[in-house]
Amino acid sequence: MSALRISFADGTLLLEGADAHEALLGSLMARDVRVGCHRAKALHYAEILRRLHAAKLPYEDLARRYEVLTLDERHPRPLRPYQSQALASWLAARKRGVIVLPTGAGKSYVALRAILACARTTLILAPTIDLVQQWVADLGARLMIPIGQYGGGEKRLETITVATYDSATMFMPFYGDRFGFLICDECHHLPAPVTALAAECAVAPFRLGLTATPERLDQGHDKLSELLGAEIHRSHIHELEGNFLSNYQVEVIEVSLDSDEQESYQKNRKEYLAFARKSGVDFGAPSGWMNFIAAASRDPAGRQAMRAYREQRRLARSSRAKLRALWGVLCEHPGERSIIFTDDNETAYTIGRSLVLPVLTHHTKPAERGAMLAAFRSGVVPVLVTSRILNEGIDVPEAAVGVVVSGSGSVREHVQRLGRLLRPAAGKMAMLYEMVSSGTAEAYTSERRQRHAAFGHEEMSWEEQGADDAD
Amino acid sequence: MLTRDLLRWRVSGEQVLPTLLRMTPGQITLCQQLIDFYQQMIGSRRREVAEQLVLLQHQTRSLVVARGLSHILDSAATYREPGDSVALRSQAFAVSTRLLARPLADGDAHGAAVAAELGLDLATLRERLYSDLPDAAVLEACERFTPRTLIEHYNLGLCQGLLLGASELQVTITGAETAVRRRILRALRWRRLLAEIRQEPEGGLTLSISGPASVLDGASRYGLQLALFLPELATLPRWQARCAIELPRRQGRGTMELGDATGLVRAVANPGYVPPEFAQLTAGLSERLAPWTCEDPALISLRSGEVVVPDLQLRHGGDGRIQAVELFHRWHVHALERRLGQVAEGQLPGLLIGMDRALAKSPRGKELALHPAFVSHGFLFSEIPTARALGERLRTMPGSQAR
Repeated sequence: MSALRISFADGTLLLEGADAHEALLGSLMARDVRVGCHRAKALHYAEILRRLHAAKLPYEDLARRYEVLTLDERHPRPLRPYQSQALASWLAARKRGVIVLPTGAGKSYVALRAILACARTTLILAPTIDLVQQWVADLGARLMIPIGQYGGGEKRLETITVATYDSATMFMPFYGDRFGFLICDECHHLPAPVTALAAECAVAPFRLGLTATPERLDQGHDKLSELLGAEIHRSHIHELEGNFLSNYQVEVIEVSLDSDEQESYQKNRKEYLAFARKSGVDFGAPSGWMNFIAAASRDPAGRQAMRAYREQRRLARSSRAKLRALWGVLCEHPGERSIIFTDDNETAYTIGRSLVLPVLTHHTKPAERGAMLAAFRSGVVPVLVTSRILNEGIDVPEAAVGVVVSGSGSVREHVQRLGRLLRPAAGKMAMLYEMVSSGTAEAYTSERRQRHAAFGHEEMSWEEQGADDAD
Repeated sequence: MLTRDLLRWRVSGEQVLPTLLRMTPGQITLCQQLIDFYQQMIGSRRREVAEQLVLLQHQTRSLVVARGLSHILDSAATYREPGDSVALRSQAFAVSTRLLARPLADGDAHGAAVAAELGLDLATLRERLYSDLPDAAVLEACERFTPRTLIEHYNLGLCQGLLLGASELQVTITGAETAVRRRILRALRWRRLLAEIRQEPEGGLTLSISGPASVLDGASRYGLQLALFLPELATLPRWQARCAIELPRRQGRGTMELGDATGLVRAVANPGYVPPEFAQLTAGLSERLAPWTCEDPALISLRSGEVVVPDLQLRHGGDGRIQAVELFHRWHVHALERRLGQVAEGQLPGLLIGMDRALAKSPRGKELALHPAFVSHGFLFSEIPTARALGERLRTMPGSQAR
């Protein structure tokens, strides 16, 4: 019997001489006639080795190319109790698993301690370039070593590298053997079909997922367990508020549309709903919205209905009354670091033009984006308008006021937006304002996104939430 | 390639039939209207193009078709990026921040005060503050389509869009010249696709094309590579392709069959994707390796039915010896190992084997570089081989095949 040999190829493992090990490894591999041997997901590297060890079978491991590191932290600080618990749970779970902590609770510091405990070549994945740059700067300062970056025009691998999920899906077929430890920040992004490749094509035996909101409507959170390990720690926002997170208040501001806008809103809403009824569209059904689009594209009346739908939505999101109310909030908090959130770019730029405020969207070029964030953090510019780009991860500890001018019904989005304001500071009381156009469908959307303990409501099951949350 | 929202198909039993456009008078008129529209809009901003286009699209019988055709035209159009307003924004925000410390009565008064300090009126400031967004780019040029070429692009893009949901493609090629087949098979390799290739007794080729991990799950992760490969098939005189596809918007699964009878046309010239550096190498080889001349490589069929697809073929001007060359990049480690085994068994006496240094640096690559067949028949290169390295290997090659 020839010895089993395991090598890394194209984001998978090739297992030569595995014919005799079908009983042991059959569930993890498949015969590939194109290459004349067995193939397995790189993801299963650790489990394959574990089974071979347990069965005391010899093998030759050519797959592993990661290194053992010697790392030192510049100014270590004590972990908070919940951080210690999270780290201990992860270590006990063979250095695999998902840690759920509210935004602002110090997930990245837990990750740093995990890197030190693991001491292997490490890859950290984050959803946006801004977050990647934040990780690079933070780890570089704490570990005093060059940190690699992949994404946003950079292609630099180091013993510790930070990359976007998008970049990782492209390079993992080549470099998936180089990392022993994989950290996925905001890991609720990972289960999306293409993004999952970033974890599937990596051999890393040690894995850590970080998120405040792991649940996904498409049940993708079940896949997180396969890709990173089971959820091994969860702290809730209300458990940490006041001690480790800033105190906060949430205030809903109801605004009444001006009479002409109210009239136009009602007229347009009536028109598109009448068309939907006539076409047999049930918006309560999972495919309701798709059916409406399909029906609307078929004839001129449908296209008019679509225009009516867009107009009533625009009025609810960015009416003159909302702009006046927003100005009122800014006047109440002069000089305070404030983030204004909208659901779409159009509303963000409408506010930016009207009140001469900086707007940060995916259209903002990298240099200006960096300058805007730096100016905001330093207080040179105290107000930023954004659609969704600052929803996640970006560290703006000074922000104390948030204004949700418009948003989806997504609980996750609303919790993440609140999280932007919760970095603790002495005497800080964060304020999250939510503007709702009364007498419009926004009231229903607002009620849906507040179904979370963070807003003093019973949490809604993820199945109840509707389609707004899908990635 | 058409995006998912623009795809049209119908389902008959388990068959998925792409709704291809035909050269009917109605479609020709629609295509001509859209082509003319883009020509007329040269010099307009992207926002104006989009607004006007919507009106035109809404006059058509099928909005999805009109949007699909527009997508093809817009993808081939050139827009000039607007000059940026960063400096104005920087000044305006500095003033706005200062004034926000002691806010005025309302937002309009605030905006007007900022504008006044910058020497502008409020309307001008609002107009110019974010005038560098993508919507403000100016349409500069459009590719010259005819209704026929536009429909050809549309039909190919439609089938490519549906192929995004495929995990594997079963292809039969008949009646193509050897050079054409070689080009197809080489395109597969450059796209990092794997194929089981069989030479049929009657002369055809069958290929099961997919990516490395396709044996592990049915995921359509190689759909993009398969879609990009489709235009190569569209250049062949006789071919059939069959694949199981996952339909967009979770509308189930089905089987799609395409072939020369589908009428797909690869509208872009220069078929057969080959990196430009490689094309440059082959163009200059005959001159630099004289008396060797570079020619189209022939496929080499092994007894097992497997087909070897050399990347280069060189013929000696004096004694007529033929030397084929096959290149292995970092994603070909296992194919290289198998090929070295075949060379060692004497199945491929006239084959030189090139190994990319990126592959040679890997643990397995280091081992393979010591394989007796590589020592006698191999050479190293970085990305693309050089004429010098090839010439060196040719000089020391023992017993090349003579024809």
